[in-house]
Amino acid sequence: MIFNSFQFVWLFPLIFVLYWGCSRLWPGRRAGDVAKYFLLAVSYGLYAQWSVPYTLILFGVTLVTFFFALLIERRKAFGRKKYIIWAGVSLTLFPLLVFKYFNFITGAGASVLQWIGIDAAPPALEWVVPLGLSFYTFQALGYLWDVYYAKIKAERNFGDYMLFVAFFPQILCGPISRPDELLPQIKSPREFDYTRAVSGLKYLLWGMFLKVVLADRLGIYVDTIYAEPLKYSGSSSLLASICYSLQIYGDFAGYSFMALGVARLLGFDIIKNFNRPYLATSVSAFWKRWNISLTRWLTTYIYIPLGGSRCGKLRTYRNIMLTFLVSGIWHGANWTFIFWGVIHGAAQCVEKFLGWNMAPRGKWSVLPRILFTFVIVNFAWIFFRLPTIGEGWEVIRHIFSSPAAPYIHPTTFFHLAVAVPIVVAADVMREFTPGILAGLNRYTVVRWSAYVILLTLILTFGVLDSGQFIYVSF
Amino acid sequence: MAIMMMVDLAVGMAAGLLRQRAPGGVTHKAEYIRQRADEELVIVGSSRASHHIVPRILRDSLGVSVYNAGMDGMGIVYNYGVLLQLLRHGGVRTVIYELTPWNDYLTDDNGQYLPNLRNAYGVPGVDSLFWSVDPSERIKMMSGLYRVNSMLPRLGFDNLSAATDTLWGYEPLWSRYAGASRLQEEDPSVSGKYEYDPLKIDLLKKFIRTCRERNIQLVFSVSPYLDRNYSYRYGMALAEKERVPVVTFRSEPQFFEDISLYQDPSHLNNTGAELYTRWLVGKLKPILADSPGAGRDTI
Repeated sequence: MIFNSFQFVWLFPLIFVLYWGCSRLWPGRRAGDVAKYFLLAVSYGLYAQWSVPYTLILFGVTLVTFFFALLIERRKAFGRKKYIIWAGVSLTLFPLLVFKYFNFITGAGASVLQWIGIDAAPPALEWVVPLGLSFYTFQALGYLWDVYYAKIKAERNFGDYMLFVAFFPQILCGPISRPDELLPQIKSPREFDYTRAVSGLKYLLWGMFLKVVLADRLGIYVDTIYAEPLKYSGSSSLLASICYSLQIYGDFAGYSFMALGVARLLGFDIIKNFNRPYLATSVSAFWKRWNISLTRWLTTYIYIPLGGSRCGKLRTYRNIMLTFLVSGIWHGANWTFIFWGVIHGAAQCVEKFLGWNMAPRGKWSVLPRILFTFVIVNFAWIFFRLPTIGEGWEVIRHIFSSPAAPYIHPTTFFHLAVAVPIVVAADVMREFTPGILAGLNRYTVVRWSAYVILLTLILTFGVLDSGQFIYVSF
Repeated sequence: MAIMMMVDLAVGMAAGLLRQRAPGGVTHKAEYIRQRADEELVIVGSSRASHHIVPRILRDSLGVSVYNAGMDGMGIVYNYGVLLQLLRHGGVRTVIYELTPWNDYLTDDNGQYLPNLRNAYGVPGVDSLFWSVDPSERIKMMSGLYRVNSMLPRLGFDNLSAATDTLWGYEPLWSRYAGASRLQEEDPSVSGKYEYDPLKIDLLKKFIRTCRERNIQLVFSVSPYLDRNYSYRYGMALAEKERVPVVTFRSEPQFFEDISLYQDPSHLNNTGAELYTRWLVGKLKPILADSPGAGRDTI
């Protein structure tokens, strides 16, 4: 169930009422169990609604990591544990490799063979990638590694663990929760908390605005220009690249805020995955604000085991590059994603070398640093969005060589003139003048006016066609 | 909730007023079709209808009143709604249907055809068109805010635009195409892979049946294009089966040799449209002379 669908509008209130109804109907500890199993049934049911066979893959990943965690815990010696963890990791990654990377790997292999003079036609699989596969696989892998490093105890209750992997608000696009955050919440009975529910509704509203008014509107312009970039002027390509930066932010942050909102309405607290990323003053800082749960996962399970930054400078740079290579590969089976990861890794190495990864000293250097970071991130997104690296370079060359006025469709830009200033103003105020925002928030009239305006804008300017989220395909 | 209902009601009412008062643009066209269009010959279809067929030439040559109801990006879902509106006003005797495969029988997002019909939701039969595309429209359309979703900027622009009544729905294009022709013979191995949309096909058949029942002469038209991405095989087969006459530019070399007649590979400019309409008149005359209501016609 995607949050911007009509199904969500009628089904989620029903889930909400039944979920909290369970807590009232059964007294004591059983209430928590009934509500928990109800959520598990809803999570699996919603996934099965998309594809029943692929639900088995979700179940398989859950089963493998659950049992391998128990096996790992039984072994005290690290030597034996190592074999078990690698067997578990390999089995867990198997569906991801088959569904997402098989064609890419065989294609790359065939190119190498061709290069040395052997003509090979690799078999191609035309299977759809299971929804949220990368997200729930990484979440389950994180659990396995945490048990391996003895950070947590292996879970004994299979039902609780199933819900941890399949929790429906986050299964499609994350955030990737850590077991020590989500599992204790699953285990403990929840009481309805009005304040938490209200904050959940606020996140839901803001996330919906980001998705349907900002991201999907910008997507129309981006798709038009990037379908035939050379047909339009270079400034149109530049504008499309900026629009795409905002689109992917609205799309992914929008989903994450909605997931956070839905989880809060159900009494759960999950990680806030975005924290005004385009106001970061360096690429390193950008990654502490963008897809925070993935950055945390990569840091915990890739960067630190490689040695992190507590080794020589060169090894630190190598660790950064390897971590962002994994990040690129995680995003998709295409050289464009790998190249995008390399750009981000290289930018952070340069920043570290020049000492620019630290917060700027004077307040006057903040704005130039924000703009400079945005330019780097923005150009990297061009490769992320286009189908090949070559086309990415072509667009960048076109930006600098064809400076005629940009193509502007009046209706699209009317919509943009509404959405972009609101998002920019909200993020800038939250970043630099949180006191003023909190002050305004105290007035009921201001608060309710904001809710009514956002809801009205969603209904009048939003793209209400249940458009898919970009990150679902990752 | 009460505040939102009031806002919903107020925006819905304001949008209704803006719709009715728009002197030009698509808003005016949609309102004209809903309220008054009673011309004897009506052209329906996508942008290839609205930019390609000049009512003035048809009117002068055939001696009948003509309106071009073509609308950018629209297909059978919208066109069937237009037919239902035309039937309320009587008058229509001939419909020229500009076929566009993607919009009329191949699969794409049928939801895109509904916004331009929202003003006619109250017309009998139009509401069920919405529900056949998406059952949730039955609930969504209760909201005044939803009814103007994505339309407010256009409502504003159309209220500020100049009146376009003198063109009878025709929307001329003025620039010249600078590229090369991409026209190719249709490749059956490619067109065999297209997915056909059951809802569109059902509505297209309904359109043909309704015209036959109401004694309306229906003519399918395939106006000029230079683009290779069109698949007319299904449309031609259906026309043959249902005995709907077809006028296609493919028999006239001028339309695929002279690229100065085009604005882009899919659209004629005004020069091309005038030339094509004159050529079309010659093809239409014998068809209309043999039509069921020929006795009422003035040709």
